[in-house]
Amino acid sequence: MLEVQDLHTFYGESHVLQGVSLSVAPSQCVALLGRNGAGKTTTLRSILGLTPARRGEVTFKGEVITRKPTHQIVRLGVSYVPEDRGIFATVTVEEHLAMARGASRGRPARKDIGYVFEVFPRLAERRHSLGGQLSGGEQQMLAIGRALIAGPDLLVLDEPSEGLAPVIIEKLEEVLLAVKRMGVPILIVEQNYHLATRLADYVYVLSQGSVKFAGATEALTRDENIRRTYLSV
Amino acid sequence: MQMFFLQFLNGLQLSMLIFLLAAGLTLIFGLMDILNLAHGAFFTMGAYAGWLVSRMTGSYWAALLIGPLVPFALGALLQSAVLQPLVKRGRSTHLDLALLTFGLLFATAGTVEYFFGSSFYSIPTPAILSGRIAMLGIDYPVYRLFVIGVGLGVALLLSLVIDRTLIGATLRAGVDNREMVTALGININVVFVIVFGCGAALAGFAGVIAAPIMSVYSQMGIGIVVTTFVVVVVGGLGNLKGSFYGALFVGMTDTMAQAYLPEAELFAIYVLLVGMMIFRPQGLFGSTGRVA
Ligand SMILES: Nc1ncnc2c1ncn2[C@@H]1O[C@H](COP(=O)(O)OP(=O)(O)OP(=O)(O)O)[C@@H](O)[C@H]1O
Ligand SMILES: [Mg+2]
Repeated sequence: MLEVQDLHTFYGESHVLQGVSLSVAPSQCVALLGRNGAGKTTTLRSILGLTPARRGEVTFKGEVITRKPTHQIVRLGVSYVPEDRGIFATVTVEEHLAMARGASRGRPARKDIGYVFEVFPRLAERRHSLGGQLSGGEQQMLAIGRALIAGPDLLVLDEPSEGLAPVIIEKLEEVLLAVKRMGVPILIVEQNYHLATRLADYVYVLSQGSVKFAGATEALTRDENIRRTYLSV
Repeated sequence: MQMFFLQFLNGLQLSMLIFLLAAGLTLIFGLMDILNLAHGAFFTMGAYAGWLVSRMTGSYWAALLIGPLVPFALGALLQSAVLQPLVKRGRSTHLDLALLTFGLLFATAGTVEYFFGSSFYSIPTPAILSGRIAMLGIDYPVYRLFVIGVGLGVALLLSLVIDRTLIGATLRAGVDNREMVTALGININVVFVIVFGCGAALAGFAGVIAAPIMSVYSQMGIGIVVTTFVVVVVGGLGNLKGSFYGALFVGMTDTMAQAYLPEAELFAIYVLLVGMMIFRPQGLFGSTGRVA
């Protein structure tokens, strides 16, 4: 589904990703773990073309997307929930969803706005509120709902649980498990180790811009050494 | 009292004309972060295109409809063929773009003068809008009332489009977080080209509207772009509502200074500009980066 080969990404002169490789298989949930500054966000941004890689290759559904502009990558079926959630302060909940729906014209699995309101009834109540008026939890639901509208072939999430109350995280987990059951592949960056290991089938651990561990989730939970060195759990 | 009412209407008419320019300028800045000094050139192009159409067809309305198409096309071309590639090459700081568009403003005036000479032209007022109307003790030109009405109409239409439509939502989103708009699968460069074209078309529309009451000449866009900048700074860069009230404020200040304080006429609005920069640099409507 998604193949990332030897990605090198720079911010100016600073060499942030130093050869990251990973892959996501159909229906698989893959977690990308690592400490602050490890390069997790940069990896996702490189996949999406937001911070294009200088070297290496990204392939999605058999097509090379390394140099494609972001909007084309997204139209191929990659939905993105960024670290800051990317909610527009002066745009209403309903408009957020309508924009995403409009932008995914032509995608066979595209959903209706009503679908998102079923998954997150709270958003239906807040449909006329502006993005800037939502709570952190509501913003995260909106960001995920907006990502689901396109009926994505890959859902990319950057720390969705960050800053959320435990009850909201439970709800989030429930929704992501449901998405996974529908067979949508997920690539998720998470600081919440327990949430990540409950969701993921496969895990990559990143440190200083390169992959230090790759393996099935059970292998990581058994490998205390890796956990202690790179994750402090 | 009648004198004041007359000046009030004159001020309103000037304000609405400036608003048509300021609206495009502020939208382009808010969305694309481009301080487009060439905006006055589109005003000139619209006026000349309208003048040509009116000469060929004899119809003011044809001029009003067709005139703005020239600046629309050239504006869209400027954005897609010149400014966009500059962004890609990393040469698009505020200063880069200000210098480039400053050059374009004067180059346009020169080009227009080369082709049309330095004469002053005018588009005749259409019959239906000529003459005067008696109101509250004064006889006021119908055409000037028409300008006021058009300005208010455009303001209403723009605010409806921006507040109530999906296109408007996309613009608000783009002002807030461009990157996320592209991450929804929207080609923001296309949005930029359209908005730039529409902003230029509005300026050209203002040029045609102004032609029956102001002279059409090669430098006409230079003076007005300065006034427009004052409006946009007063109203808050990137803020449409701000540019409306800013236009009222500047148009009234200018007209009233002319009428009651003629010695101050030449610098009244600049005092406003400097005062604003010192005491309220974010403009009347505060927060940066809002279009609605
Ligand atoms: N825009 C930027 N300009 C320069 N350096 C950056 C930029 N963004 C990130 N970096 C640096 O790149 C490295 C990787 O950052 P990245 O955001 O990918 O880490 P992360 O794993 O997502 O961390 P976190 O868990 O804090 O989100 C860090 O050292 C960071 O300081
Ligand atoms: Mg991060």
